[in-house]
Amino acid sequence: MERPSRLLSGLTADRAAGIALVAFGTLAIVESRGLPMGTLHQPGPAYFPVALSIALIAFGAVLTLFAGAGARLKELGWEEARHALLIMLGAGVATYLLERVGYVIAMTALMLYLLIVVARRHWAASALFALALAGGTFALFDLALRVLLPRSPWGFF
Amino acid sequence: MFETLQNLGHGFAVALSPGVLLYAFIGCLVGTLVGVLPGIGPLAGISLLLPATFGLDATRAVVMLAGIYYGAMYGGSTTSILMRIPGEAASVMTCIDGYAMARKGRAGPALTIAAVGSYIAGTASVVALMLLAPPLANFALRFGPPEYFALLVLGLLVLAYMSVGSMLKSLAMAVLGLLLGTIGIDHMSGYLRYGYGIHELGDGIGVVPLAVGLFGLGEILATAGRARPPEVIRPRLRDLLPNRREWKETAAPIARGSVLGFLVGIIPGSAHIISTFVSYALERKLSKHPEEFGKGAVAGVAGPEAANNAATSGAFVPMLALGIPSGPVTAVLIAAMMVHGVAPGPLLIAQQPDLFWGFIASMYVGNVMLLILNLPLVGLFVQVLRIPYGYLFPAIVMFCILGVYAASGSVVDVWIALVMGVVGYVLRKLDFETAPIVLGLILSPLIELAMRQSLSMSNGSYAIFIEKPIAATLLAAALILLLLGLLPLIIGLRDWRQRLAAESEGKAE
Repeated sequence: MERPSRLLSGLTADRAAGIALVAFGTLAIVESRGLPMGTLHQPGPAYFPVALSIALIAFGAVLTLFAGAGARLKELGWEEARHALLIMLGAGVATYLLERVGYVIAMTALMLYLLIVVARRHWAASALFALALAGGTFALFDLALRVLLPRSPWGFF
Repeated sequence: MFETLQNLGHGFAVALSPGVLLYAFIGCLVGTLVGVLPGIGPLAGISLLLPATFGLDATRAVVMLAGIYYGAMYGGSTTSILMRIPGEAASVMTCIDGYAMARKGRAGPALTIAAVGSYIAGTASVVALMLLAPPLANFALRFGPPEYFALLVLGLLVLAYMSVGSMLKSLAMAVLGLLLGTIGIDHMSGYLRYGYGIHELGDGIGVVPLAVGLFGLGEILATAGRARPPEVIRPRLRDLLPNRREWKETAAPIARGSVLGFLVGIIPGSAHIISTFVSYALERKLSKHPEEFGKGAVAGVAGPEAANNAATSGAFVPMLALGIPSGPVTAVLIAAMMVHGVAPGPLLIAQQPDLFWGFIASMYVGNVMLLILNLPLVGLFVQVLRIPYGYLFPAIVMFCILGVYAASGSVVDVWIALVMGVVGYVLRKLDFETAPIVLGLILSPLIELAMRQSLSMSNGSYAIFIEKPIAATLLAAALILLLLGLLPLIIGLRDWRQRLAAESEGKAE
């Protein structure tokens, strides 16, 4: 029996996308169960999303059926995926911290991580750049433009 | 005509007031930078700066955001010509002959031709916008829910048909956008759809987190791991002026590009991108020396650059006159206007003359500013390109988070943007266009409302959509487009989009 990962990478990109669209459309229909469909005269809140989900499933099915000859998933060249994953990891942690430690600290930490760990820049230049940018944008947006940004629980920034 | 000139005079009084002038300048400057920097398009630029406009009045806000849009078209040509990297998607065609000219030592004239072509096309197309938008708005006053529903459906189908990639994929993305647009409170029944207990989702998914995620973060995820950027060719300022032969070869392509770009711009879709493809193909077809294309043909720079700037003005026609976005950028601009309590549409010109005519006049002024910015300051913009990408991408990621948080003050929106960033990255890898998702999200509540109101009017009879002549005509056009788009899939032929894409790929190699 073929392993699932090998089966997945052996799929063509379009076929994988088609299957994903069908799955998303099906999920949307399942999630619409709790909403009233209404009638033709007076369509309910589920009417439009269900109609769209059916259309999405149809497009996904056509894509799956007609996508035999395209490039395979593993042939797409995922060499930047590791970088992408590292960036998303940092962005996710910074977002989690944003309202907990404040904008300046969260963004400085994010910049330091991206510059030193991901982009492998010198630590001193990175620290200067990170502090200047996080502090500068806070000053511009929060202090000058009055766009409220989260402050740290310790009372500064 | 006299009334139009009188209104324009009033618009200039608004546009030349110091406050509006300053924000037009900021918009043009930021737009040029956004266009110059690979990785940030006008959509991400506008989305990021949207929160900074909250404290401004509607006129200044729209003038600044629109300045970013057409400024990016000017700036995008700089990286195309000097680095062979399109700073903005609409500058792809300029890479071919612009970079070839730069390699031959004609970087300065190529930049001048691009800037002058952009200026002439930008200014001429504003005249067309000024003349076309008011009568179109008057005509749109006849539209009821069935007509609006048909128009919006046609808009989405035109967008899918005009997309550079597969029509089927673009349609699927438009439907996905429409589906995402149903998240939140249903305004007709009060039900919360797909809220999962997150009260921030009551207002639905915002266009800013979606656009910043798909276009800003998605682009960064796709490009962050790349090697050092290629070498930048530095033009000498004293060599900026083209010679007499180059000026002569420029005139007709600019004129054709202006007309073509404006007409394509009115059509929904990635008009500014498509207009450059069509203009390049047209210029090569009409040229006495088609063999020069790809090797530094002046017309290959002048035509596409004029076309993409004219297309931006064309895109404002349906936005201002009908309140319908013709693409994701105009969708975000509509969202910006709504934030300031202005509803674009047929009544805009009558109800907000200061904003409409001030906006039109600011585009004339903005084009002059951009010409001044893009020629003498080209050396400065080239310096921006020297910032190592290792410093640039962390800054862009930070600006994405800042922009999304500042727009709503909600960390949920930042999470949505991060998820959309991953979605955008994966969709890009799978060769899907993401612009239809943004347009679908914006149009979703409008289409749903128009459909449900139409069905209520007709006691549930779908015949209402074919009984009304305007709606029937629009839906017939939509059906024809759908068949035209799907026919190549059924009979296995390459359609115009695939031929154009193959042609540009072949040339770019």
